[in-house]
Amino acid sequence: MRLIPRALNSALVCGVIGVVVFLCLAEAAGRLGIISTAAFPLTSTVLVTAVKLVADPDFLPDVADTFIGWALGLAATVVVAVPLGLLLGSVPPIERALRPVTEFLRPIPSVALIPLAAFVFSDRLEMKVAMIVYASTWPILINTIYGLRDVDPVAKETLRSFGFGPLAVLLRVSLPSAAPFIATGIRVAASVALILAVSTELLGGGSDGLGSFIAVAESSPEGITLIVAATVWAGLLGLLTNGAFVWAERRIFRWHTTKTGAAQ
Amino acid sequence: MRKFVNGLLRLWVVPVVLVVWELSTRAMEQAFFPPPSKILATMGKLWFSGSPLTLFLTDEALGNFPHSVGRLLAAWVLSGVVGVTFGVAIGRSPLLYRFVDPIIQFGRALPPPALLPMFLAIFSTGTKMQVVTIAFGVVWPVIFNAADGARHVDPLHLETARVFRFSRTQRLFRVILPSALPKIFAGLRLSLSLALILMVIAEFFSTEGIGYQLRLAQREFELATMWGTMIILGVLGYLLNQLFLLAERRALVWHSSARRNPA
Amino acid sequence: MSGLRRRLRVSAVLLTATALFAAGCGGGGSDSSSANAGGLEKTELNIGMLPLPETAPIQIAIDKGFFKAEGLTVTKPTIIAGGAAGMADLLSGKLDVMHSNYVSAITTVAKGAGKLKVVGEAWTAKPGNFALMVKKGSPIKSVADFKGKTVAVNTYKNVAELAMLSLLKTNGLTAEDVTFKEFPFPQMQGALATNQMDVAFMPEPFYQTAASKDGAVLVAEPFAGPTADFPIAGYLVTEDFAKKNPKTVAAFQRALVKATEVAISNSAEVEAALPKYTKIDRATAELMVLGGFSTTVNATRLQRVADLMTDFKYLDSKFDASSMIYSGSAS
Repeated sequence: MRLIPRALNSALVCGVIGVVVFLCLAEAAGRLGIISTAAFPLTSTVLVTAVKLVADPDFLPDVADTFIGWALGLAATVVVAVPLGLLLGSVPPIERALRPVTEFLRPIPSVALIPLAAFVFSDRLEMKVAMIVYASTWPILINTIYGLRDVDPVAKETLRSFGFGPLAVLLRVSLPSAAPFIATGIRVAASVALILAVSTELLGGGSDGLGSFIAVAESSPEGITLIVAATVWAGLLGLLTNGAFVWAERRIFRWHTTKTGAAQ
Repeated sequence: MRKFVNGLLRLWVVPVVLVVWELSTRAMEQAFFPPPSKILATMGKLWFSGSPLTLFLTDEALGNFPHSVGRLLAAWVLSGVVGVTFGVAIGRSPLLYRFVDPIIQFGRALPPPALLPMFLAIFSTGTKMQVVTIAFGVVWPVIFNAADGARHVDPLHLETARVFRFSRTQRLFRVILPSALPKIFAGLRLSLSLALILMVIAEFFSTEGIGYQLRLAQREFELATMWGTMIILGVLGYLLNQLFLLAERRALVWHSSARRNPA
Repeated sequence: MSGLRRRLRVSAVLLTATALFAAGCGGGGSDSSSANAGGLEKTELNIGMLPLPETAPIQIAIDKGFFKAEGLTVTKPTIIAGGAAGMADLLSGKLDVMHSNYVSAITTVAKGAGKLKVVGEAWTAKPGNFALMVKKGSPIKSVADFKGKTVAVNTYKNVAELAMLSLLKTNGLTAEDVTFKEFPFPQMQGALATNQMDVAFMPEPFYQTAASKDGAVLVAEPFAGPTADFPIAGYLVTEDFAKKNPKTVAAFQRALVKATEVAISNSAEVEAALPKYTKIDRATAELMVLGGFSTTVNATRLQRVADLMTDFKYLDSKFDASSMIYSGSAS
């Protein structure tokens, strides 16, 4: 067991170095003509525009709108998907019966459903939340089912032999043991949800959010730079939220990390 | 034979859903929600009324479906190789992880529809651009799950490997990868259906493929065709997933048996 | 036995889910308030539009208080997505009035997706509003050279493609001679410069910027000959809305005509309005020709759109476009 580098400092330093190197490479690709600047703006141009967007009075409220839609959507997804995953994961006959339906629905792109959702929902926020729930349920659902399958059978048997009922086994052994899997699922779902929030705003119309900002930017010949700059913001939002999730996961699953001696 | 019948019986839910769907859409009488009978008829006319020589597929179907599926599989394999390699690397090396983590988190939060212009600028339109777009969109779950799996290897196993003086490669292929396999499979399965979604997005600026057909149907307000395309995607996703599960069951046989019979 | 019971229970759940789903499809109602001066059935209007120069009159009507003078409350126009999603907004009642191009509108009605009425005109193609652009130094000098080339349009099977088909026919070519590709307008300039297509169908101000920045060359006007003065887009309401709210529609029409007259007579007003709902800045706006604003819906011209759509197989049969023109007069 090597010394666990706990200093947040070094993670920050390493991360910053990584990002700077990456940005330099991207800038070089533009300057050397690997990526045509006629078709795609230079990294530096994008960054400058992205920073300037803060001064745009319409922009920050848009970011806030996207964030709210994302948070509501993700919360709704967790409420729907985790219990469903626990049910399907612990009662295999139901999972088997519903599998044709879930496997059929899963690959249907939400992008294709947006026109239909626009017809069904008379409220845009509801529609956004619904699209997020539809698309980001799957990672949580699947990870939950996989997590339950990976539960140590000895532990389950032990509890069962002590006379605990199936629900107690589920809550005392299966759920804690599957929790890291579920957490990873939620983290993946969080980024899917962000993508869906922006895509629904972009393709479903409305006047709020990063997506509508992108839609309006399409009116301008300089639109491409604005669109990419807004996309950078979407990426930043994802970066921040993911950081929060990782932090929370580490606090909650410290026992798991120590148990498996995770190299972090 | 019995197995086959059992397999079919397992699909009992499909006719139930179809009947409920048919009845409710008929009751609704909304052009946006055509009944499945109408959708199936449209699909039949459009794609499945060809000559028996081509398995009844029409030129329309043959000109679009194989290309799309080919690109999808190519991209999925690409993302699998890249994702597992990269994921295991960052899972085992905390230093590398710290360097690239922000970039990865940033990259996967970017909405693929907004990234299309970049890929178009680098690769122009065509198969290469579509494969890269799909692979870029689906590689994240593979990376994450592979990294998580590689990170959480049982220290006891690693100790054992050290005692037996396993080489680095042996340790990778005998201890780390097998232990990370369930998570890697979870990631691969997620990315497979995600790949179908990305395929549709990548084909928006194309002139053939299932995504193009969907776009065209939307543009023409051919709602039955639009639904039909979605059904094709669903069926395709179901089939791919079944094939995947079959492969996974074979690959993970040792894992579950090791877990279930802790002798 | 228990298996059967379980099955029944599952289908019951599914039925409930479907019922809930169906209930959600009722569409929005219109809340009417009778306590207003003009006796308007509905005073608050949700207007949806694309962020294009042609919708400037809506912004002008808001800024100059034309809607308010008619007793209408329009706070901020909703920016919509084009195509089926936008149409769904109107049909589901999220929007009361929607700006849309006529090809989409006619397709929606002809294919039975919804019943719509045109209550006002937005844009008619005038010389200089649209252009077919090629890269600097391109061998393509005229429409006749399009044979075997790739032409970028913003939307498949819509106005741009229809105009192209008509133009190709005039020049002795057919749809089989070119490949259409879908590209959003802001991406066309770069895509044209990097050879992702040979010809781009661009509106202003995109084509002017492509010309000044990359030296792109205008080869032809897409709306010429049989498509000269082609009606592009108008304002729609659902038939249901029109029936229930004739006075509101009339009030909207009066405000729109007044604002359109301002837009026609004073282009500075348009240039001032554009930055409020688009990302077109003042300098770019000043380069624009504009001039496509129109105050009347012309039945003959609208029928021309429908006929072209039938000619080029957008529609299976002839469509009577006059049925879509709103004629209800409220006094």
